Amino acid sequence: MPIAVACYKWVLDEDEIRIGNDLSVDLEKAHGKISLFDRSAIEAATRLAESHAEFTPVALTYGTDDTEKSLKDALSRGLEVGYWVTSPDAAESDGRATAKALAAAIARIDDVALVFCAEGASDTYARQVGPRLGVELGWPLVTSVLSFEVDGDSVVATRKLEDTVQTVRVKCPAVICVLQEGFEPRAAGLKAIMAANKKPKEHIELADLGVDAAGLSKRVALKGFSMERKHIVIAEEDVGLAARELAGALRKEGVL
Amino acid sequence: MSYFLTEDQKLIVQSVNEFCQNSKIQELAAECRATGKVSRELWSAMAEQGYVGATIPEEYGGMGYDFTTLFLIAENLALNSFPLMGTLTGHCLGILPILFWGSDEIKAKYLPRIASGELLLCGSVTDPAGMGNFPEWGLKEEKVEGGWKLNGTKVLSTNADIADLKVIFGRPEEGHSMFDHVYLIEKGSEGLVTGQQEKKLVPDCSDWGSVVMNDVFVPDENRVDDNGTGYYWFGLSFSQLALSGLAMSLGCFKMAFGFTSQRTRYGRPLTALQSVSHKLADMAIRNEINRSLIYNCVRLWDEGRGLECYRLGCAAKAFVTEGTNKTAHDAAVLHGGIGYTTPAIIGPMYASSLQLELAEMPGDLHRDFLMETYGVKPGWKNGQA
Repeated sequence: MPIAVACYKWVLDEDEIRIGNDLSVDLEKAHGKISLFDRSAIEAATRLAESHAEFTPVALTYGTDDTEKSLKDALSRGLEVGYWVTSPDAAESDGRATAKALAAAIARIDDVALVFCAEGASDTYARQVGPRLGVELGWPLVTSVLSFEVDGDSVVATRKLEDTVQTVRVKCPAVICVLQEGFEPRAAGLKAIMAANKKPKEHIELADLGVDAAGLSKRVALKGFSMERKHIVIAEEDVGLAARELAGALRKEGVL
Repeated sequence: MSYFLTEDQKLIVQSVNEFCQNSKIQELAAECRATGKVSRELWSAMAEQGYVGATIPEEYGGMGYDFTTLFLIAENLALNSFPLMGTLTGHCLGILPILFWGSDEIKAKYLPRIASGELLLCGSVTDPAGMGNFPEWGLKEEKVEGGWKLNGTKVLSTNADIADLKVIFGRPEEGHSMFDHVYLIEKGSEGLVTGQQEKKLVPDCSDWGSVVMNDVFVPDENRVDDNGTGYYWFGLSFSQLALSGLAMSLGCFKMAFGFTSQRTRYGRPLTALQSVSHKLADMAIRNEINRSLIYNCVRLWDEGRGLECYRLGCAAKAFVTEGTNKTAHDAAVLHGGIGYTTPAIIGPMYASSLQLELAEMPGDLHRDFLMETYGVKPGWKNGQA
């Protein structure tokens, strides 16, 4: 029974983060949630299992003890088992550390055929974990995936790039980074939420994985961002001249 | 008892919001609003999520959740301006007598089909003579062999035409304070005529009209009498209407706060004016009181405290819907003249708030019902003014 792993991150809800007038960032009142983009990774794994019944979709996440709260949510979205790896240092983890922790956990799960990630998490959007996972596991990696089909022991993925659409075939096991637009997450129904309570969960301590998951980068500051307006006024009364002036200003700013 | 939400309830609230934001659901909702008609496809989507059968016991195909959870679902649908709120409220009024008074046979016959979304209900109460004016009702209920023959009209009934099962409230027996039996009539029954629609002051996506009965035969098993449970569950129906008021008030507050935060006078936002900020504060205070009233009501029911639920339901229906009217009024006024223009929706919301006051009777009757539980018989029942 091949396993499809959906990786997700438990992040702070952006809507509850407050930016002060002095651009200070208050995270105290923000609750956790599954990263918005990661819900598409979960959706991809769930849809795969719905179309290919031989696959079992499972959840995998790395974080602090707080992360346990995320499991019911993840399992209510169609995943069958919840794996959660914890470390007290997880909050400081960078993409390298997270990928190492996840890869070590994946190595302990039998028969993993596919690992789904989002392109990035909705808090930092560093876009590192998916590619690094491919390297850590030594598996092929496909990013920007809009859709995919399983074909025997391979996956045929459609990648959406800026101007083109590319089709790629890779052998399983593989890491697939999905695009949100290709995998709109479903809203969990009441039945699924109820069923999530009974699904198995497995807790793994990072220390038991025997992996060096220390981050190499450390966040030293976090400030709010304020966009300064240009205050460019086109005062020309003649419409034609005003339009020309506007076009010039936009070209100068690099918009056109 | 924990006053706040369980983990499951928090997850349910999140999922209802995700449901409303789903692109397919938004497409169906937009279509519904554009046509002004109830969308069965949208209803089926709700059924698939388990929303329409949330409180139906699991043995009958429902989810077996409590009413607090149903209210959380309804509130969050309303906060997302979900177009089928009226449909859901009318449908729930039809379910309640089946759920609380129905025999095992009636429950087995209808509840699974209700939970699956196959059957949409209407709870038809209002007689042309007035909802509570029982002695002057035109409805004739004649006992015949094997059942009952009904003649009469129910007006202003939500889901009147579209409902697959009409739940017709009969005239209470002499001496009974409230309704004590209903008739379950399937769509297409001989003598049943629907289709006449009323035009609402503020059109919405609802089916609101009359159910006309010309010698409609209802078999004995489809007359559902109070089995001793009583009528206190009406508190749930009253407070569900109040819940729509709460959602509307929350929307009005958000719009008013947003507008007055942006709009300036002498270079400062309107919220810097104490008269404005105090109006907003009063809205916020009303919203919190209303939320407490409604959710205390439904939690009392879930705890098996029916009389207290009924009292709070009466209170909620009167107080919350009247308060919604006040909040919507103040929100419209805070918008100034712009609030009276067509693109601004605050004006129609103010007009629409009247609907909530009037649905299932205006607040003076609920005050009478409330005092009746304390032994004070309303004057109109004594034949007095």
